[in-house]
Amino acid sequence: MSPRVLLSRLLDPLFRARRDRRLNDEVRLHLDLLAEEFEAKGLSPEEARSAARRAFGGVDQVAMRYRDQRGLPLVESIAQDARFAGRSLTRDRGFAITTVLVLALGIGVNNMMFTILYTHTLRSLPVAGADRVVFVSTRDERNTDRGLSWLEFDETRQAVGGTALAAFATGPAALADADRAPERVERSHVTGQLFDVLRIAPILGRVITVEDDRPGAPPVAVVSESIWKASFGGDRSVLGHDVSIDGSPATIVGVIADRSGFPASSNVWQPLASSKSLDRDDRAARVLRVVGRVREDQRMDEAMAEVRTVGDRLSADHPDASRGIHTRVVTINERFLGRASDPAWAAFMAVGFLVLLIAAANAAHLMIARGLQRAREVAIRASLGASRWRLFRQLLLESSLLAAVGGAIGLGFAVAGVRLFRQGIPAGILPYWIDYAIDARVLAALVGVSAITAVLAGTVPALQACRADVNDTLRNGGARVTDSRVGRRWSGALLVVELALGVVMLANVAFSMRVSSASVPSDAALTTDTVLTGLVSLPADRYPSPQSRLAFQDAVKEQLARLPGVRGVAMASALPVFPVSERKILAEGQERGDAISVRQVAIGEEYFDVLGLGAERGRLFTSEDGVPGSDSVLVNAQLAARLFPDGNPVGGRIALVPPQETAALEWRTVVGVAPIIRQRPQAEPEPIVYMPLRLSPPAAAAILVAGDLPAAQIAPAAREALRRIDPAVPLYDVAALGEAVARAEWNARLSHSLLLALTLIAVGLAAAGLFAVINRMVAGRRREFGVRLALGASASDVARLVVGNAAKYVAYGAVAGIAAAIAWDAAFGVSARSQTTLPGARLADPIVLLAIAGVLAAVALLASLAPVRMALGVDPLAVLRQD
Amino acid sequence: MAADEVPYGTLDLMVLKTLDGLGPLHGYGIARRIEQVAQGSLALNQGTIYPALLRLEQKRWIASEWGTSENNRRARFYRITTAGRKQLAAAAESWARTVSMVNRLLENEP
Repeated sequence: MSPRVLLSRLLDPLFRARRDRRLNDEVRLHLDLLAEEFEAKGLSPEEARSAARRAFGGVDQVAMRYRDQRGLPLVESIAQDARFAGRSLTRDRGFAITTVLVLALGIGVNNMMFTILYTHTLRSLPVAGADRVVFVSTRDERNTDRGLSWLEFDETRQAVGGTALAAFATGPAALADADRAPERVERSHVTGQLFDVLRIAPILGRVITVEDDRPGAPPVAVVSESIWKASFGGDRSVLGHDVSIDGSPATIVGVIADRSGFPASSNVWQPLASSKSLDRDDRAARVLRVVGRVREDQRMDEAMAEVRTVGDRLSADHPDASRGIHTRVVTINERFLGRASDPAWAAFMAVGFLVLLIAAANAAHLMIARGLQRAREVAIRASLGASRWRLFRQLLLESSLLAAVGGAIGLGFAVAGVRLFRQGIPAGILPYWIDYAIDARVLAALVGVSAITAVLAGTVPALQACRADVNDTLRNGGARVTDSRVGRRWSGALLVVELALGVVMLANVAFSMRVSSASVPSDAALTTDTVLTGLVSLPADRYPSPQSRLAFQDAVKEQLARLPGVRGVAMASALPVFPVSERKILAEGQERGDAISVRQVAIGEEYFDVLGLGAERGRLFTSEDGVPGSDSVLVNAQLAARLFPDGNPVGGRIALVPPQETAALEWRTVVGVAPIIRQRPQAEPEPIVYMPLRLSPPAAAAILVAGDLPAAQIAPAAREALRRIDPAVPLYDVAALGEAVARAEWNARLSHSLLLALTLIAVGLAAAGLFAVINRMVAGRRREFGVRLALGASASDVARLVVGNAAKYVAYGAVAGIAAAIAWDAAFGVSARSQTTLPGARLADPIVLLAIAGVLAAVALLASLAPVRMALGVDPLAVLRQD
Repeated sequence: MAADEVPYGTLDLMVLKTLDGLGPLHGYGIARRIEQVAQGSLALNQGTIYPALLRLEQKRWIASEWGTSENNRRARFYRITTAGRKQLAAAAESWARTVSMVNRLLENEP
């Protein structure tokens, strides 16, 4: 079709009425002239009129051909087919609803997972022109994400020409003013260029400039919109207001909008020049995070290579401080969002497509079954002259319609699923740019996936339905539909795979439930709500020495212990379950190379007492431990088993390996075996060494207060007590221990729930598939059932036949699934088992697998209920009469 | 001799030739002219001329406008365009070639 004709056809709807009128006028004139001609030849007016009509040909046919030539007949006939498909689907409501739900589940799960993936990896950061902003860091063998030291940053900034660089360092601080209690904030010290590089504009006042970032400049601060509103009433008078930050005076000069700041967790910004903790002379103090904007006239790859080259040259120039240090330059999006091609995300999305495939396969089962039931309709249409292509198109249109409705409902599922997922994440964990909104691209993915699903699910059933032999079908009245053996075999195999997959997923869920529910005796102690927890962080300038920090800790313990209802107070470097740093450790008699990794926690002597736990062997810490002259440490059972495999650990000697290879080892004596406490969410306990808190009091510490009252009732008094000790050190993240632990475990809990939900969906879909296949079997063998019933088979005979058929698939599926679970166990079991101390816990646990087989059997029974009813409902007389 | 169906694709050529030879005509006039020339050897359903006219107009080979017929009735008059003349020449030549080729083929049949 030439473009001109196409254009004319496309424009047709606009001119339809006019063109119809024109044709009418022309035809009327033509007929009149013809009639006049015939009258002139001597015919009567009536005869002349009918002769004219004969000569003209059928007026309606001409009009139709005229219209065919005019509009887009394909579109019109498709619209007609779509209307027909809609009517036929509303007639067969059970089929339509089942299929739509199956497709909606598959599409919904897929879209939910895509939304999560897209939000975490594909969206750009909310930084203006983010694609030209880079993130600079350093790495060495031990740590792949270090910052830069001041010297490195300063020298790199001066040497680089293609990129404007800025640095920042973030940490907790206390914000207070004359008439307010201190409030814990996240403060970033930033260089004067940062706001310029990130193009962040203030909503009030100004941002920090290069002039502010000079030694001796008046101290200024910029606060976030939420701090401004919560602490300063959203009043413009905040500008010029004097505050105290970690005890140092500063003047507020600007406010920036929430959800636009960077780093995301910050809510107070100050010039880097005012930082008291920054070590400007130590090249190895790599505490600065560095970002840069590539100049507009530079190519990204060249500019990034320049920064990298300069950084690596600096490392080479200073071999003492920078041995093995390499500079890493990536775009800011890659640094903070990661890549969708990351294997973990790929696996995540693969699961999404797996569920979609299972759903599409199930929809195909259902459509094939329906195709058999309506073979007569298709045969009649074929015999009336519908072309195969037209029939195929009709059937594919039906599956498209189902997929479209399924996609719309699937969007609802996806939105609900994403919302549930979002609710599983505690507030404040994710940076503000993680926003699981459904936008145009997510919708486009949904539409695309729905279209693919329509083709995936619809093609085979449609081909099968139009291949049916018209003569045969019509001759036996549609009663004896020949099911294609190939098709049956395919869907049988597909079903077995679905069921086997369900078994593996169920085995995984059972395993993960056993591991996480199992277990560690201390878990019960950690769920308590009568232990209050909170964190403090001591500003470096006010508490520079271990002695000053120790004095603070003693004051805290003393003050809190005096509160009514408090039984005990303890401090530690971290709360139970919260991740802690890793060290290398070795026992006496081992070489340095044999050192094993261990988690290190520093605890006060009251720690286990407050948690209500006692020593497994030996003793726990007392106030004598950690003072000069004592060398005691505690180990947990896991560490004891590793370091002293065949002996009593108490009295054994161990040493933590210092980071510097040349430093001497400091040997310490194990005085007891501590009770087992997890120090990572929902993982099995790992080796842990406990050091006395007094030995090196940390700047950031956790406080635990055991009371006779619920933690919430002690909290206000505890906050007040802390304020009395030092107004500049607020107690933050205050929560009952059970609550804090649950918060820390959100990630594991969320992935557990996701696994459970996906498993339920997969098993549910497998059940739907089973139902479809059995239903189709019954539909295809209606005549046989009729004959059996006529010959005296009882209802239970027929039921047994149908259920037996379902049982066959389940048996195959269960066997294949158990084999797959055992294979899975062999492949991944080692890492799974390393998470647990349960004796004999394994994925392919015989009892668990038997239970799963039982579940499948129940599913099989359920899925064959309706088909059994259908088989029993066959009227023998009607079936036999059809022959 | 029984009247033949209009060979596929030749109606367009006949319409173009008619308009080229006789100038602007309405649908009835074109149909009459083609029947005259065929002298009864062609079974033309006169109505089929209208879809053909629309097709030719869509291709811009003819143009149309309202006018008044011999007996003062409102009628749509069609005329050939420059593009139509070009097309007519090309189609006529191709037609002549086809005919002579088929003729040769038939004559050479032993």
